[in-house]
This record gives sequence, C-alpha cells and structure tokens, in this order.
Amino acid sequence: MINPNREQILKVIRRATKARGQGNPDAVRKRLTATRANIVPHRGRPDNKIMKETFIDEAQAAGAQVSCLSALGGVPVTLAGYLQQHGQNGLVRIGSDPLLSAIPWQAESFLTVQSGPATGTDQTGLNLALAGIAETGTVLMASSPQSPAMVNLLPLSHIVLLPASRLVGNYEQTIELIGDNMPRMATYITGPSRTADIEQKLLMGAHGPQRLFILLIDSL
Amino acid sequence: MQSKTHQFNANVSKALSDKPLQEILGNLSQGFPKKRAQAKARLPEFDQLRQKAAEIRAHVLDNLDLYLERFETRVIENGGTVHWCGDASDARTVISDICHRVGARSVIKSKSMISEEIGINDYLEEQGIEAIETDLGEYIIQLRKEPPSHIIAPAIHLSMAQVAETFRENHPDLDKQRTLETPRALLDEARTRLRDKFLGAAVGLSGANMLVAESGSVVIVSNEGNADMTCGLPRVHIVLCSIEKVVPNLADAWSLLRVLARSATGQDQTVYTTFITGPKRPEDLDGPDEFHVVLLDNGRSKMLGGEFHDMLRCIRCGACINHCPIYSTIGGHAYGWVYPGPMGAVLSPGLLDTGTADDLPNASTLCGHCESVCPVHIPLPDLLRRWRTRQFSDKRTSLVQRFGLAVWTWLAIRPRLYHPLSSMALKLLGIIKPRLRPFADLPAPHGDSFMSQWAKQQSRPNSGDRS
Repeated sequence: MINPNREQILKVIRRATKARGQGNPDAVRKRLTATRANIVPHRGRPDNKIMKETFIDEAQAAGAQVSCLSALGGVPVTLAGYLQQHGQNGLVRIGSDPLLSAIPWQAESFLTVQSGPATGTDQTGLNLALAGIAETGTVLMASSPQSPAMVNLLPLSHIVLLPASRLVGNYEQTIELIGDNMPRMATYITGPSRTADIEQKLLMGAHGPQRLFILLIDSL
Repeated sequence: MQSKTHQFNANVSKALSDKPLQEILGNLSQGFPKKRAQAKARLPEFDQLRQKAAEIRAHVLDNLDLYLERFETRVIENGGTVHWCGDASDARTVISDICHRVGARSVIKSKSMISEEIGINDYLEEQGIEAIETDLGEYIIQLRKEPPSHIIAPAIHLSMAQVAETFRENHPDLDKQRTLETPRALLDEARTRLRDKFLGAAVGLSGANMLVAESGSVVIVSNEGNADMTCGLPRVHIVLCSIEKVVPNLADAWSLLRVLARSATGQDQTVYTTFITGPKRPEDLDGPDEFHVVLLDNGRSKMLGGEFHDMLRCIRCGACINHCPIYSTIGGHAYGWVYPGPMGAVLSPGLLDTGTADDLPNASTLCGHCESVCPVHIPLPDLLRRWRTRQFSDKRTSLVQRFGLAVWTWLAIRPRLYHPLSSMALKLLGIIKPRLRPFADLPAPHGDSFMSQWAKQQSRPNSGDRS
C-alpha cells in the first residue's frame, strides 16, 4: 500500500536535497556498511593496566558502588551483607543466565533467588552485564530471555554482575561486541536512577533503582 | 499545545512581575551552566567532538531521504511498524487509532517535546484515554495544567512549596497531615503514585533522541528510568519522533551521545541510554508485543534547504536555553509554545503560522552565548537575525520601527552628519534620562562616543603604545 504521507514527505526532502546539489548514495552506503568509530576520547582508551581502575573510578563518580570479588563464590555473602546494610529483604530477582545459576546461592540462607520477569514490588534485581565501559563507568545490559530488561529497572536495588574480562574502554567497542545480534533493548547504565526536577536538587531513585551495585568478578 | 507566542509582550510583563519565578530564575546559572563547564573541563576532546557532532548532523540533512528509507526498512525487518505523518493531526490520528484498537484506557508517557507540539494529551483525554506523564517534571506540570518551561527540565520554574501544594491538591486520598517539605518526600510520593500507572497501562508513548538508520534502533535517554519503563512495560510501545532525528550508524550515535548529556545537564553520560530494536522477541520474558514508530514531519521538510536549514541539526540538549540571558530573565512560559530560548526563537516561527511568533527572534541581545555552547554549532544569532530581516522585508514590522530605521540608515551613511548628531544625542540622553520613566533603568550614557574617544587617543603622542 502506498502511503501518500510517506511519498509527499520524501518528495519534499528530495527536492530540497537536489536543489542544494546534495545527496550522495555512495557515501551513505559506505557509512551504513562500514561503521567506524569517529573520535574516541583518551579517557575511553585506557591501558589494560588501568582499565579496571578507570572503570571503578568513573562508576563511583556516577554514584554506583563497586565491589571486586575474586570469584563467583563470594557473591552470596557480599550481596547478603549489602542488602542487610540497606535494610532490604533477601528476595532477589535474577536473570537466568547459566553464569548466574552457577553462583552457590545456598551458601547464604538470607537470600532467596527467583528468576522470571520483574514485578513492581521486587526490591532487588540482579542481571549479568554484557560489558563494562571504563570511559564513563557504564554497564551494558542487553535484554534476552535470560536477561529480562525490567529486572534492571523496577527494583529499588539493581545488582550487576560484571566479569572483569568484559571490561572495555569505550562505547564503540561494545558495537563490535554486539555485532549483528542487536538486542531488543540495549541499555547503557551509568549510575543509579536520578532526578533534579525539583529545584535542581539531585536525588537518587526516581523511577528506576535508587542504588546500583556492581560486582566485578576478577576470575571471569 | 495551543501557541501563545503572539502574546509575547504580555507574557513577558507577567513573568517579570512574578516574584517567585524571578527568584528561581536568579539561581539558574548555578545549575546546568556550571555543570556543563565542569564536564567540558574533564574532557579535553570536547570541542573536537562538537565539531564531529555538527558534521554528522549536517551529513544526515544532506542525505535525509536515504537515511529515513533505510531506517524504515530496518524497523520493518525487526518486526516494527513505521507510520509517516505529515502534520500534527495525522500523528494524533495514528496514535489514537492504535490506542483504540488495543483497547487502551491509559497511556503512559515519557517526556517528549514533540508530543507537546502535537498536543496528544488533550486529544487522547477527549477520547476518554488517560495520558499520564511519568517524567517527574512533566508529571508535576501536567497536574498543574501548565506547559513545560524548559525542554529538559519542564518544571524548572517551580519551587518545592509549589510542588507540595500541587501534590496536596491532586492526591486527595493521601493523609492530609503528611509532611511534604523535602524534595525526597515529593519524589517518593510521585514514584509510588506512578508505579501503579506504569504497571496498568496498555500503551507506552515515548519520544526519541535519535533514530539509527544502520540498525533501525531508536535511542532514548533518561535519568529517571521512566523512559525505559515506558518502552518496556506496556503491551504496545509507540515512538513519536520528528524526521530529522535520524543518524547513520551506531558509532555516529555515540559521537552525538558524548556531547548530548554534557551539554544538557553536565553529566558525562545520561543514566539510561537505551537502544530499542523492535518488539518483544520469542522467549523474551518482558517487552511490548507491538512496536510502532510515528515519523512526524510537521514543517521540518520545508525548512530543509531553506534559510533555517541549520536549525534541523539541533539535538535538543537545551544548552542554548541554559546560557541565554533572555531566558534567565523571562523564563520559558513567556515564549508561549513548546520550545523556549534561542532554539525556540528560531524554530517556533518556522513551525507555527506566519507572523504569530514574530516577537521571539526579536527578543534577543544577540550576545552569541547560545552559539558558543551549541554542541552542533548552530549559528543561532545569525538565524535570529535572518528572521528579523525576513520580517522587515515582508513588511511585518511596525511603522515606527520602519520609519526609525529609515531615518537611522539615512544618517548612518552620512558620517559628517551622523557623528555630531550622535554626540549631541548622547549628551542630551545623559541629561534627560533620569527624568524619563521608561529609561530610568538603563545605564546613563557618559563620556564621548567611541569615535570621538578614538580620535582623541590617536592624536595623543605615543598613541597605541600601552606598555
């Protein structure tokens, strides 16, 4: 079916483009097939030695808390301590990635983990990050059946499991990482939810999580 | 939204005599402009990135049809639907048709200036569909039945006390004795209130910061997380976006994102930067079943290639607004429509009926601060001047102004007459000014004119040697 609006809009655009001698299909094709990074700031190209340090510094500057653990085995006790410290219960909504199932949850009786989609009353959500970006201390959460997107948004505390091997310097490197498998929802998260809509006063926990806790696993 | 740009002078008088508003406006420079300067200082490549961002936007406008076609193809391949709309009325119809078809009783919204442009909230309400703004600032002004006063901080004109009063009036079911004296208490009340609305709505309506042609993704940024919930919780997600927002590829999107948040709020990055690519996929546990992109022209294609072409590069960061001396004196409502400040003064006359927004481009000192902070180098003062020139050549300016300018022009090209006359006028103003009521606020002219001072300095021995 031909949409008259579509044809009309494109017609006006083409007329204006032609009148200015613009419109270069070759340049467009090139730009659409060979995506290349434009300018990547120095801060986004840290040496491997300072990659982790840069990520942690930037994530903390954005209001996230970061804990470095040597292995997955340390997750339950760290998480339980964190939730108790913030007066939260031990119910944790988790994604179903095999890596998350490999965590020895039974080691900590305070915790009860449950997979499935997030509900509006979940206090804690935990998902596996696809990448951590040192440039701004950002974590990339890619939605999938194993990683439901709303687990990252609805709970009060958002816990992110980030294998140290998934640290990259800049956003452009995550484009390569994703390749042709663009997730339905790729959310780049930098710190916890916030607003400054009332008298420009910054407050954490607007509609999304009030806290962002990143567990950086060195051995993974 | 109904435009009140034609009442600009009355709007300004009202704003200037509004004491609470003036107090808030007085604090603006301590907020966004300061934070932007700090973010810029932290990124040595910032100006290089701005140059690149401007190039990307210019390249898109040179090839807009090609990128839109590619974007459309990709959205369809991803399982979404694209609706092309010529004007506001087309877009309202498309959106309400979708809502009716899925039996939506309520629509949750994330902040979208273009949705203000088409007045979708009122339109849906008329048809019995509740439209709920979820950005905190937008929620507050929706309750107050006010338009936004800033494109990124819509309730920036309000004090905490005013917000508390609004919540007491609009949440009558809650305890009347509750304390609402901190921003935290107000935020928590709004969060709780809106949580149920999020979970109950069948349709989520969002704007878009960018459309990526390469992947057919829609990019939405938000600090509150409300945009992601608007896109991810309801059964149907509708994206409303104007046609010029497309960018070639993901790397280009990131180049723009590096300057967007820094220019807007002074954050290195917005908290949630989300790329949405199609509807829910098989096996997904959440996400919308339907994904619609409403591409709206509403006057943009006609600006292409014209005098105001460069305005289409705008990425809506609001930096020009935050740094404008006029905006920080009169606030956003005085501008009378969706877009305030310098970007609004250029854009509104191009999108609204001819002649209805003529005052806006004239309300500028042309100080150039806006252009100096624009992340995509839009020559805003130059564009404002072009509107003035056009008004003059279309004979839409007042007779007094035309006559005055004609007299001045006549004199200005006759320097032998102009210099003595202007010197006389200066002296005269110095004498009568304090007695003339409307001019009493202006600084009194003192000393000689520049030309006569210059002549004096040149005639001095050793002139020019100031060491």
